[in-house]
Parts: sequence; structure tokens; C-alpha cells
Amino acid sequence: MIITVLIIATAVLSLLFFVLRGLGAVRTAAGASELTQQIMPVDLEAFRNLTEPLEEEFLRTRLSAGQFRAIQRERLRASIDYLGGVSHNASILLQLGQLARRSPDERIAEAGRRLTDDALRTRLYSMMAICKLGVRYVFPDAALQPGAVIDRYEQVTEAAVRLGRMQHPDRGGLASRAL
Amino acid sequence: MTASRFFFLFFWVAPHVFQIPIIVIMVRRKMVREFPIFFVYTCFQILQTAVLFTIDQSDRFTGDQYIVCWLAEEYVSVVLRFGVIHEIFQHVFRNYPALQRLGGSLVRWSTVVLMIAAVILVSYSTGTNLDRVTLVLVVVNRAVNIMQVGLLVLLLLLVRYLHLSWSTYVLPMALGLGLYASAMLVNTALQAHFGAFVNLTLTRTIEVSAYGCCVLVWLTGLLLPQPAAKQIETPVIHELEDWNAALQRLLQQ
Repeated sequence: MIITVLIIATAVLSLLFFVLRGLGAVRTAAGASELTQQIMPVDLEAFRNLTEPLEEEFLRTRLSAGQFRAIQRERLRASIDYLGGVSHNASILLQLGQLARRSPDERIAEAGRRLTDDALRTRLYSMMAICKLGVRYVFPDAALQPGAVIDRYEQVTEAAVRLGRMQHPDRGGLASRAL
Repeated sequence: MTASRFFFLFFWVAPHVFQIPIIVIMVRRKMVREFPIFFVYTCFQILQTAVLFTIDQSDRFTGDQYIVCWLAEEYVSVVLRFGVIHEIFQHVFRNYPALQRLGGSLVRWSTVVLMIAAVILVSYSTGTNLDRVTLVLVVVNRAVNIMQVGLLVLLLLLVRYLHLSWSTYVLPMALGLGLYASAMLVNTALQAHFGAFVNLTLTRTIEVSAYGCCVLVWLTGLLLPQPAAKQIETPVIHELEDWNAALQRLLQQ
């Protein structure tokens, strides 16, 4: 009986989910300027330090096992926060890329396609990295590094700057200086 | 004919009548090549209703003949619905090269995981009134519905998480099918627990109403004008400055 009730409850929740998603489809999507305002600052260097294996090894040799676990958990929590920011920004860049894909200017559309593709990978990698760091939070002695996310994130921001340059060549230098 | 019988027949036949305009629109807009399995499914639904309705109304056929015919169409429909779900997945992922491989593996692995989950759930939830007919008819259907609902919920969550855009008409197709599969899951769970033919009027009413809603969602999706795609125009200076400032903050803070 319990399983039957559980299945019915799940089915009703799914039904509600589909109805709400259908109603949500009516909402209008945000524009490019609204999206850029939603980008969050992410300190990439700090994130690199937090996930640097040598740094971790140094702490491991200098601290007692208990102290290391406590500090490592703090570091992991901070890393997960950074990854949350990276993932959020990737989703914004993804939406910007999708808007750019519809541009009548073929160069901008192509840059938009590349940005979309890179941002998608970043979003997926950051999701996987958050899962990995979550596991490490429970087992701080395990050795898993989300390093690929940093490289991918850099590729995405570079693609975003390329797109910015194409859309407004006069001001494109500003973006390249920023990156 | 009683009023309840009339309404039951009306709600049974009406959704399938509404599927005729769907076919007409699909042919006129040349959407058949784009959604071949959905088109076949829609045609099949109309045909099978015409056949079942004729058998139901005619005195020349027995109840057993009706059940055999109904069972056959049920399983063909189940297979076609899986095909439609596969088609929906393909349409969602085809514009994203980064996701094409992931999309394929996702469908395969999710199907396997959901199949295992469905088998476990089904094996642990035997009702008090189970008989052989119920086992064949309802338990398999329930496992199938768990898989279909699971796949569609997973797809919608993934699209939302990754901010993917739906290509024309795919979202209503997924929502309609999701609504129907969810309602059918309620139905089959009830039938598995209380017996396949217990309160048949209630379960058939749930089924025809859910299918009616599903067809309305599909038809509305086809009839509503597609929202105009927002484009990034050449940005005005302050927009680009905002963009650059955001990137600067992103990398320097």
C-alpha cells in the first residue's frame, strides 16, 4: 500500500510539474542587458589556490590529521561556492550565446554558437566538479581535482570576449583588457 | 443511452477528433519529416479509436474480441510513445554539439535506471486483488509509465538547468505526453492495487480526460503563434560597457 501511495504521490507531483512548466513557458525570456547584469564576480586565482594539489599536500604534511580535515572541509566549502558562481556565469553566457546565435550577422551567429557550446561544457563540468567536491567534503582525504573546470571556464570567457569584439569592434579592446 | 454513457463516449472520441487538425497542420507545415514518429503515433491513435469505437458499438463483436484489440493497440501505443520521447530528446539536443553524445547516453542510461527502478517498485507493490490479467495488463503498463514520466521529467529538468532553448513545437509535445503519462501512472497504480477492472469507469474517465488534455496541449502548441526570437542587435555603448564591466569584475575580484 505504501509503495502504491508513493507512486500516486510521485505521479501527481509530476503532473503538477508539467502543468507549472507549461504555464512557465508563457514567461518572456530576459534580454541581453538584463543577463549581463546577473553575472557574478568569481575569483579565479583564489579558486585555483584552493584546488591546487601542492597546496593541499603542504597542508597535509604540516597539520595533524584532524586539523587537516577541518581546514580541508573549509577549503572545499569555499571551492564549491566558487564553482556555484562559475556555473551561474556559464548559464548567463549560455543564454547570451543563444541570443547571439539568432543574429542575422553570420559572424556573430557563429561566435554565439561557439559560446553556447563552450558554456554548456562549463556548466556540465562545474556540475560534475561540485559533485566531486561534495564527495571530498564527506571524505576529505580523497584526492579528486576539478582542474578541468578552470581551463574550460577560461575558454568560455575568451569566447564571450570574442563575441563582444564582433558585436562592437570599437570597444572590443576593453573586453580583452578585462580578460 | 444514459447521460454518463454519452459523456464517456464523447470524451473518448473527442480528443481523437481534435487530432485530425493536428495531422492537417503537420502536413500543411511540412512537419511530417521533422516529427515522423509523432505523426505516425497521431495517425495510429485516430485509427485505433475508430476501430475500437466500432467494435464497442457493434453487436457483432464480443467483449473478448474488444479486449484483444484494445490490448494490441495499447502495446503499439506504448512503443510509439517511447519513439516520440526519443524524437523529443533528439530535437532538444541536435542544436548543441556539446550535448549530442551526452544526450544519447542519457537516454540509454536513464532508460536502464528507470527500468530497474520500475521493476523494483512493481515487485514490491503487489496489491491484494492481483490476478493474471492485472499482472499482464497493469503491472507492465505501470513500469512503462514510470519510465516515460521519469524520462520526460529528467529532460525538462535538464533543459531548465542548462538553459537550453526548445525548438518549435517540441515543448508542447513533451508537456502533453508528460501530462498523459503522469495521469496514466496514477491509473495503473490504482489498478495494480485494487484490480484491473475495479471501478473501470473512474480509471477510464481519468484516462480519456488526461488524453483530452494532452491533445489540447499539442493542438494549442501548434495553433499559438511562435514567440518572436529575441536577437542581440549591435549593442549600444552602455550595454557593452556593462558587459565589459561584468567581465572585469568577474576576473579581477
